[in-house]
Amino acid sequence: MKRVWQHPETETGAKASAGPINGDRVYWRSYEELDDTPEFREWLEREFPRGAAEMEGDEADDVTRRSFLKYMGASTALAGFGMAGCRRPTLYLVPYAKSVEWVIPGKPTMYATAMPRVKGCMPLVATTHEGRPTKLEGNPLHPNSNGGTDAVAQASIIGLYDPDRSKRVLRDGKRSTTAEFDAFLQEAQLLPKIEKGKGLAFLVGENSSPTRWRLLGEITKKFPNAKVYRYEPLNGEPQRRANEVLFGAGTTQTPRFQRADRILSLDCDFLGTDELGGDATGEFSRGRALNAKKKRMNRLYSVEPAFTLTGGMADHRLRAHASQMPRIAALVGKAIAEETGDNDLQAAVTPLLEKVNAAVFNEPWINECAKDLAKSKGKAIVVAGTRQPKEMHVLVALINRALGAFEGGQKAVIEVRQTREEAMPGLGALVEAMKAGAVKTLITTTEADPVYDAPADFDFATLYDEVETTVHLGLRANATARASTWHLPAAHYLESWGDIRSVRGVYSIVQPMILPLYDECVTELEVYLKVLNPPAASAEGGEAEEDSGPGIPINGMPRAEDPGPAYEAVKETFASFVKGDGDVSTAWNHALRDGFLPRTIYPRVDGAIQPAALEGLGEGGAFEQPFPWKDGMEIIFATDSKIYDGRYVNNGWMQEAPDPITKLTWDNAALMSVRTADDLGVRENGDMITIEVDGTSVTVPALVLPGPADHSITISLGYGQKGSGAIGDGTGFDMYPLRRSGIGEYVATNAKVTGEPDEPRYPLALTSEHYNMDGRAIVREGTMEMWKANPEFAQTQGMDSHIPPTIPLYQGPDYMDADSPRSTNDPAWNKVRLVDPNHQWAMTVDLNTCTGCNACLVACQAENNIPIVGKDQVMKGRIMHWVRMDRYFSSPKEELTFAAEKFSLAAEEGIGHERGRPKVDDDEVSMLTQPVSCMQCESAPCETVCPVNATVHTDDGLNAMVYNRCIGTRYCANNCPYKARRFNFFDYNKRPLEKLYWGPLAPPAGRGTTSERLQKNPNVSVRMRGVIEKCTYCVQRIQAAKIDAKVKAGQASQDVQVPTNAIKVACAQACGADSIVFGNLKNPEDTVNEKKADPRNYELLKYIGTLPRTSYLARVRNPNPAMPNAASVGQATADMH
Amino acid sequence: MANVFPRWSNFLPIKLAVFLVFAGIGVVCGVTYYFTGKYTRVGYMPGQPVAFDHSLHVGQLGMDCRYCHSYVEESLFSNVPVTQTCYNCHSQIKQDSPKLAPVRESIETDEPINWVRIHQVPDYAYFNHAVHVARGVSCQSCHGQINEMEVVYEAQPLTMGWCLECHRGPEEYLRPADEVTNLTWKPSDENRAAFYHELAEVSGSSYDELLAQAKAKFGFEDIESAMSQREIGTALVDVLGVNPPESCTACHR
Repeated sequence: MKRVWQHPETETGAKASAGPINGDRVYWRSYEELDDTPEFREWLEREFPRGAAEMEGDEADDVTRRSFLKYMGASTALAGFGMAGCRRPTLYLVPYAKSVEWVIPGKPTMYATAMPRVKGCMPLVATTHEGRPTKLEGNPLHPNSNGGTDAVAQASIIGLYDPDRSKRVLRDGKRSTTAEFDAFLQEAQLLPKIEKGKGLAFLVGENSSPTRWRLLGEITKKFPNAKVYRYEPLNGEPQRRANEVLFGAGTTQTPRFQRADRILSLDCDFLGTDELGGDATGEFSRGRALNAKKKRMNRLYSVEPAFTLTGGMADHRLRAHASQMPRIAALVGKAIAEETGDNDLQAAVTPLLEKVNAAVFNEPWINECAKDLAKSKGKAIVVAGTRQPKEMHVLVALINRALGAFEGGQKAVIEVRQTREEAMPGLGALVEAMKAGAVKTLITTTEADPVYDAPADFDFATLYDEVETTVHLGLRANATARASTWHLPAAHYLESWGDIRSVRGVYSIVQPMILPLYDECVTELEVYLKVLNPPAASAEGGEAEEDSGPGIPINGMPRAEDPGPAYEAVKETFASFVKGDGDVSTAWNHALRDGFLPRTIYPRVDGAIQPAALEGLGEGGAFEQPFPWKDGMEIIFATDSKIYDGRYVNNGWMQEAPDPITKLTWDNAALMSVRTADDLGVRENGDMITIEVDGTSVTVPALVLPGPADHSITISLGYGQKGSGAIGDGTGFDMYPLRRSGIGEYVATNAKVTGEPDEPRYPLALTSEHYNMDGRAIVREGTMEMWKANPEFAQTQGMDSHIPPTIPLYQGPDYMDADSPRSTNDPAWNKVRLVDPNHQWAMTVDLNTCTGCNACLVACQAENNIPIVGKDQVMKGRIMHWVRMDRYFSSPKEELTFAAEKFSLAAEEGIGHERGRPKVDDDEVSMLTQPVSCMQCESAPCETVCPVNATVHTDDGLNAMVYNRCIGTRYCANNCPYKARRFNFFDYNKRPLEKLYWGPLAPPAGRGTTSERLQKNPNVSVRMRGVIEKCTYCVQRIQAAKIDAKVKAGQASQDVQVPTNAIKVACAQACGADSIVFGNLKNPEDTVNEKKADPRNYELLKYIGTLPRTSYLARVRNPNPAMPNAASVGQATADMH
Repeated sequence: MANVFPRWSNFLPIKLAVFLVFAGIGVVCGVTYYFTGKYTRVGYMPGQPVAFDHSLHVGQLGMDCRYCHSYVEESLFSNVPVTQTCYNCHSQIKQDSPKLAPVRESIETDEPINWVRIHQVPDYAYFNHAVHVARGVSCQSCHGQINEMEVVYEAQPLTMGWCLECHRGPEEYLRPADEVTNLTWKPSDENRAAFYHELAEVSGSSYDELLAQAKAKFGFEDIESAMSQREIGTALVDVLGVNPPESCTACHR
């Protein structure tokens, strides 16, 4: 039946439906979309765009349709000769010889552990299947976790199974053995020769492991002349130094976001890449949550040089240069001093203001923001990015003190705590010592790769070569490993005994899940123990044994009960943490079970700022950075949201997870604003530019997005590594050569940037245009004001306000009423129960707290055996992620005109197709994120078109996908209005990504090992080529819970129902912000019912009548009415219809 | 008049006939293989590294299935015993039997015994032992009279159609949960009065009512007469609500 739409009149006369323009604001995902180019249209109108269906010739692989068929035919013929298909292979059941404690074949076991991070740790619970870890979840018992994780933690599990992991001890890059290394340690080459450790130096990473600190202390006691240096390329050293002068050595500041009403972030992406440690996302989202009981929420101001997740969540965002942040902080300080009458702050700021030309900054914005912060005295926080200079951190601490952030004892919004960490010299000091020739033996255990990522002015690689003996411990055979005399393969944290303190000090245990996969792997602690107690001359003559001989491996974890030296060392440290006369072994067992030892938080220190901190506040050049402009741009060396500083470069899940902001996969690129792009002559994404800093230049592709400060270029570090493995090789561009120590370490100023019009365009695999939903009110937002006036505001946005009645010809079962005549199908020959009276599954996603961090996306990949497809396939739109993390930009509509001057310019230059860019006011752009996966429609369009019933509805309301039935017609994907279905164009799980087109002729994936297979979840089918797949609400978890309930009930229950909130699907479990809630509609106690009843709840494309089970809670922004841009905040979808 | 049929068509009938013969042979082979027990491997009886005799251990000695297959009530997978389980007894009895050499070797070397797998459902079908056992599906229903097998063989086809037969009509197969591992159980062994008393207790309904219902349905003459499988199964399904799922996701994920 044709439905007649009565669109309400619009005042502005906006284009009614097609196109992304609706109401007074537009929202869009890329300039190409906003521009609505024909290429974009074409891309959009195909389900799997460009070449996906045709198998058209591909230059990279040089396989045409014809030759492909030829190969296929040949291989089919060959397969026939082998007769392999005629006999079924004999399979074996292999039990253990002796029972293993706790292991029940077929049942997963969970153990608490923790992932060491540069700041603190990520408390985890690891799921193991018959001893192999397959999935990591947050540890909800841990005081610093709400049970959520992040993408990095989720993906760290494949680091364990990485086929390119370092497996062997190397000497000068050649194969060696553990015994040889032991002999080297023993036989006077290292230790006895060194008089009290003279010339011995350690370069360690950032790590709060108490055992490590203890062992390093013992080493320096034994070798008083040995030196320990600390190095992480992105550790936020300035912040540490600021804390030292502010509150004393070894102190930390931990902002408690849940206690704050007003938050100002000055270049601090605390929800994303700027790890403050702890649970910033969870705490922030608790302050952000909005429901029937909690009707207030915090307000976030963000000042930043390019969009970040924090800026996306912000109620007010100001774009500003990273190098100018100290000046902005000074202006904020001035305004706050005026508001609060804080004389100390006033006195500190006044001399600084001389260096600030207030006119170039948005003063009204800063002043109103400061006023608002001052109004919430005691509940306001200002956070500064860890990449900002020390002086800025001192100033921000003064501002926080004026705002009363350190007051309130237990309830202070910023906690100052005393860690046990000692001050330690950094890489600069090591370089000095190396230059002086004072380092003879250097043992490097940092997870970073100093030969690759040290600041370029140190010339570290050359100095490193000159050191007599270098020993490197690392998971990867990276540049440092290759340059070292000795390389020891490191054990992954899931193979190691260790301990770690969370950012607030909670003593957490790193528990191994599995013996090291490769015999020669050692942990960091074991290396220190070896240096302390050199191994006795190898037992049987000390001869180099064969590869994996039965000797006791270096890690000291032999087959017997002896768990190894690191275990003993950790236990010894642990004993010192047990308070009073507590029973250590009981406490140890409890700590192993829970993952942490309670009451071990760092002691609180008085938040009084030492007066000496203010000395030299205006020095050091922090307030004198030149203002970036066309001929002297600012280059920001950013932490990569996926591979951090480069250490996860060979992690396929991270490489393929689209960057939350840019949606770029497999690369880094120079992020710039339209104005910068125009100045550089950059026309399209992927045009090359050359960046020159202090005489070094690098040529990189440009990526134009809204939101960056003009003449500021943000580019992430860590890419362009050579020899990093099959995944990491050839991805991105190395930016470390541009990096200088000192103030330019994170932000280089005065960089010469030039466009390279002659360079060929670099292909960037962006997913921002995949599966577009064509400008409907998909994502919805409003303001506090709107919400208070009408809590149901979201339900009338888009077309939902004027849906004509649906008069269906056929109605499916009534899933909420099992007794309805529609819900039974009872022909005599087959009694089928169409509706489960006890279970109906549903999900809600609260967009108010969803930051768009990708944790759900990667968690889904881990849980559901989702393959990666490689850059080439991503560019063809064949990415497999079941969760698509959509990111929308929104901007006022007035600005949506093509830049006229650009048009004429193009015409003058004779560039025919140049259409000019849509003009967007970068200051007014806001960002929204939305995870979209299969909606589990009750009336699913995909089901009706499947010719083989491979996708059908289950009685508990799932849209099931039966892989073994699917013949790959892709009709379902074509008919899915949400574009939630993915197709396996190749055997992504089975073949190496670079040889997909070889078909059956390709060797199996895994580069000669099968280690990758160990990660697979045994409860989910690994899909093959030619099969559609999609989100199933983690049906394996649903079934497991149902079966558990039935087993418990035995035969004795009429209505078996899964207990309340018993199932957490992978995405909901991983969500650090608790945005995703999954549950049973038939159990009124389940949280999901509460969420569904929330007036903000809305369904995607409600008017097409698919009755989706997943629904969204609209985002509410909390603008400050006094702010200059308040009127446009939260209006992205306000008047869409 | 020109030739309508070209020269090569002379041989077409012969070619066709030859083709049909081969096609026919193919069809016959296909049907014999795929449509009969050969494809489903019913009767598959491989030799095992240790000639473990179920008819002796279960049939004669009366060992319970769960002594060796110890996690069948907890896990989706019914484990084969670890060598230690064999050795619990065989360290005392028949220590020197040559048949047990692999067991002794396994205990000494810590290397497991590789038992040949007989029952195998495809990787995309997720069968769960625990729930079947808990809800009253006997071992015997799928594995046959194990207690009479000297060498274990596949007794049932384990095809999807075969699974669905029970999932659609569980009355024909269900038995009281405590008789699941009793391989010699017969419906006629049940005492009707005791059965309905227990059922009434578990379900909270009245005994008389249940008995009356059953009488109305199955019309048995007196309470002492033998119970039928259908009567027991129907009672379990209707009164206790043992309701096997029929949606695809029950087995395919």
